[in-house]
Amino acid sequence: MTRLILKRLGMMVVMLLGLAIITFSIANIAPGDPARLAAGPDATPEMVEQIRETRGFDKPLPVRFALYVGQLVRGDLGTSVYTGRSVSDDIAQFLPATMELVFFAITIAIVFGIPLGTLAALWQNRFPDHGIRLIAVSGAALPMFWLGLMLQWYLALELGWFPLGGRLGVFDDVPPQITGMITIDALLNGDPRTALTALWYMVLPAAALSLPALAAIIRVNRAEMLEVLGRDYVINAKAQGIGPLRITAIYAQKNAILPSLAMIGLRFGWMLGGTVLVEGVFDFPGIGLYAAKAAVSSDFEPIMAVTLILGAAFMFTNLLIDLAYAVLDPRVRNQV
Amino acid sequence: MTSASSASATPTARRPMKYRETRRLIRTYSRSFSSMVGLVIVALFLLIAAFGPLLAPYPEDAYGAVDFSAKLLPPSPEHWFGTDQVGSDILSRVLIGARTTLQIGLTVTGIAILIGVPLGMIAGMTSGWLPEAIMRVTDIFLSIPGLILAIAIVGALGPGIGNAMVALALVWWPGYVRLVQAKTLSQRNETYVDAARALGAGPLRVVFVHVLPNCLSPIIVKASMDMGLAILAAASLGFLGLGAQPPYPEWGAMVSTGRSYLPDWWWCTLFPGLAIYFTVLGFNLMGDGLRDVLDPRQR
Amino acid sequence: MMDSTPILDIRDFSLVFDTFDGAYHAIDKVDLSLAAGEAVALVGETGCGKSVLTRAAFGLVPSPPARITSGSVRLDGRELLGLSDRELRGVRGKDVAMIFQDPMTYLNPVFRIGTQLTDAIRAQSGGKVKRAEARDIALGMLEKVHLPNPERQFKAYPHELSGGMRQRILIAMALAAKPKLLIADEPTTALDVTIQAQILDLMAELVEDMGLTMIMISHDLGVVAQVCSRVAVMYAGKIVEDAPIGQIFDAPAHPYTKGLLDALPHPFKRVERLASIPGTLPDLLNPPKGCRFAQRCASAHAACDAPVGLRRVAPQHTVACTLFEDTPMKDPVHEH
Repeated sequence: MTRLILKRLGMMVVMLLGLAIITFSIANIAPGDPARLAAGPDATPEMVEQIRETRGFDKPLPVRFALYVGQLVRGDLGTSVYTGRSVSDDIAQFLPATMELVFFAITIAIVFGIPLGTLAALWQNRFPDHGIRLIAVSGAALPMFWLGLMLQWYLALELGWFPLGGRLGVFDDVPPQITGMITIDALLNGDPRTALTALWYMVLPAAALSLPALAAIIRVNRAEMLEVLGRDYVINAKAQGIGPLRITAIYAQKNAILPSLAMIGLRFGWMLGGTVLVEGVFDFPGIGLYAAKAAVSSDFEPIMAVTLILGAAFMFTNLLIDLAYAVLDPRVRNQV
Repeated sequence: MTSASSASATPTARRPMKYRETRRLIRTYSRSFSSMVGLVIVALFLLIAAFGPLLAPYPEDAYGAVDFSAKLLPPSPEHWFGTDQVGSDILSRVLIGARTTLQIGLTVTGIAILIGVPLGMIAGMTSGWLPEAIMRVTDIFLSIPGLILAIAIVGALGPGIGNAMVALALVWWPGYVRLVQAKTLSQRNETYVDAARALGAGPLRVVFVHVLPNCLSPIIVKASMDMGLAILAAASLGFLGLGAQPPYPEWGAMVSTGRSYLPDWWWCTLFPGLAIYFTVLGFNLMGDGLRDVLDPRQR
Repeated sequence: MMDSTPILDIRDFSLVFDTFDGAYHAIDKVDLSLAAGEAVALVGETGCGKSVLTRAAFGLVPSPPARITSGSVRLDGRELLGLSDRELRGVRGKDVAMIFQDPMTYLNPVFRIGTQLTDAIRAQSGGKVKRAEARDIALGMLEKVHLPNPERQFKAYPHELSGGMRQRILIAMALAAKPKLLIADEPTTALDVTIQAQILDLMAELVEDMGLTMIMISHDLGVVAQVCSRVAVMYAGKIVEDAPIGQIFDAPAHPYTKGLLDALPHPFKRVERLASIPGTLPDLLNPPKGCRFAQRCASAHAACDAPVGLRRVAPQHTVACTLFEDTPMKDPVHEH
């Protein structure tokens, strides 16, 4: 197990370097002047020249790449023209909010997706199956940003069930910052009320964010369940007189859930990308909103930094998924 | 069934056999209700994309005609989907926007296939550092959330519908490399490929005559799915203001503009969004149906 | 033997699979009866319906697509057709145990052997046996099937064991509840020849020791000769011949049985090549009205187009072939 972790961590370092090459290439090989890009659209020619010198844009490409990696290692992600602050500070401020939202959204997707997929498989081609599959095909086709707007319009504006957006209301007490995730900070502060309020604020954005993932998990779990329920060991379990609930929920599910896990990892990454769309709709101050604002105002260094950070987060998630795989499947465990 | 034994022996039987296989595929496909729904939606979408300007009641509204006296009218017999903040007919803009959408989907998927399939072939058929390098680069691309990477590329190139398509194509190809490489790798050691080699087939012949046709089904299935996904991604970029710029009739940009007029003028947002939803739904359902028919083992 | 109630009594059993192309007549009016302590072989080529018959009789074939259209299945006098799923579950494992062809696939890959054994034993007892008690029973059974190191195998995962070991575990699992009837579905087909012999020895030993009543399904007459005393030959969903093992070898009546015997390598006879039966199974979507073997039968004649039932040719020997006359004899077991 330790060997597996070390091996995967080593691979991740290589992948991160690859990721840096990609962002570096986008910034430097793309037509246009990297110094101009970094300086932002409103910079004067003098400012551009100054940035060219301080950031080494006048040096040859390999040297610049070395400089870039050096900066990354030091945690220097550049400066945001828009906020006027260092990008690392901005990200440190906005990332926890996004993580909180995405964890909530993926939890929704798993908690509903796995049972719905299983139910659909058990009732294959009967009424509940059709209903669940409708959710699944729709979830994959609905534009997240539009769904967010529709939820906001109907459930928040028309019915007033949920807040319009943001992380907390104006009159709510913001807990002292420990992790930056309000629900957790509030709980640590002994204030479950605020934690619930924060959760309440996240329901609509998380719902919009989770629907595609929910759809994907339903599909994978349904397909896997159908396959697994026809496997020989299920027939053997039935032949032993083991009850259907135990066969489905434990014997079959532990096998079927493995491919769903891979899907969950993949979808987690896509959700990170989706925050760019959804956070803007709900004015949720996370890294996605930050990236979206940076992108429209051609604030280049924050976009590159967000790409790097979200890519790294995605890789890390996949590492965790691989480890979960190894824990759940003894065959994988023994291979390594 | 009854004629199979008499016909199979002669070489002339090949054509009817192939024809029968196609008929069997069509029959299996049409048996599924959802696949047929997908096909109908896609057919409708293609018709609208082809004849949109003729179908639209106010075609000039698609390209920035302004009529403030008719602004923000609710859905009515004259304007089925209502009008927007400059008085343009939303139905016309949605109908004409179909062509943009189709263009985006085809371009992104097409470029991705053109880049991804050859690279996947090389990675699957050869050995040494080259396939290794291709697969590593592919892995890295696949490890970044696609939308974020596309935003970064558009950020470098500048907003606009052309740049959005380029950016999406650049993040889309790795999926095809994966698919084709895996498929090629599994075909490479199949007995029939060995047999072809033993009979003196060169590597190019092996690729084009034996391996590529076997990769075709999964590529078609993936392309159908990707049409939907690419349309969704392009609409997302449009919504963020990074793709098509208003007043260009692109559905994502229309949702983005309409957003400011919620909740009172909801039709500005609702209808373009529904158009995206149904189009993507159509391609997804069709892709599902094709997969069940062409590639039943892949799930 | 004739006056005691049979352990298993299948009468007039027919089953179809509903497919898109129509009803597939997989099993047609089958009669099969086993007295206590009898070991009967059900022999036939792949796809003849032997597995479906023994599984469907105990509710192990999913319906739809399967549909039982006629017949009765009595286990120790109790009618099984029409029982609820829950009641059938009480029968399976406890009264009827099964072991299957491929020990590789009939054990759940992600659970330990011990877990699967104790679960099965507890299910067989209807939950009455406690976990610790089930463990003792399981270990006892593992010893009984001569598995080396039972304690250690208990903690192993299926993929860590060889095929022969897994088949021993499946046998132990099946026999733990001392069932009235054991159905062994090609228990040795997937194993190496040397392991095959060991498993057959073990089964012969267990049949003897535990006084088991058993149906052994096989396509190999050579294998069943080592364990069984009677053979029922099945072809295309019908039983075509039913006789004591000696008679099947010495005086086979049905042309299909003869074909099967000719296909068997003989230790004392030198032959240039083994015979094969020309042709393939009939299309069971539109089964022939008469003898289902007629298409492939060298002795087929006009009378074969009419339905043919089992005819008695010797005491305890019946055959469904027009070449034989029904001779009324005293043994009434297969009377209609």
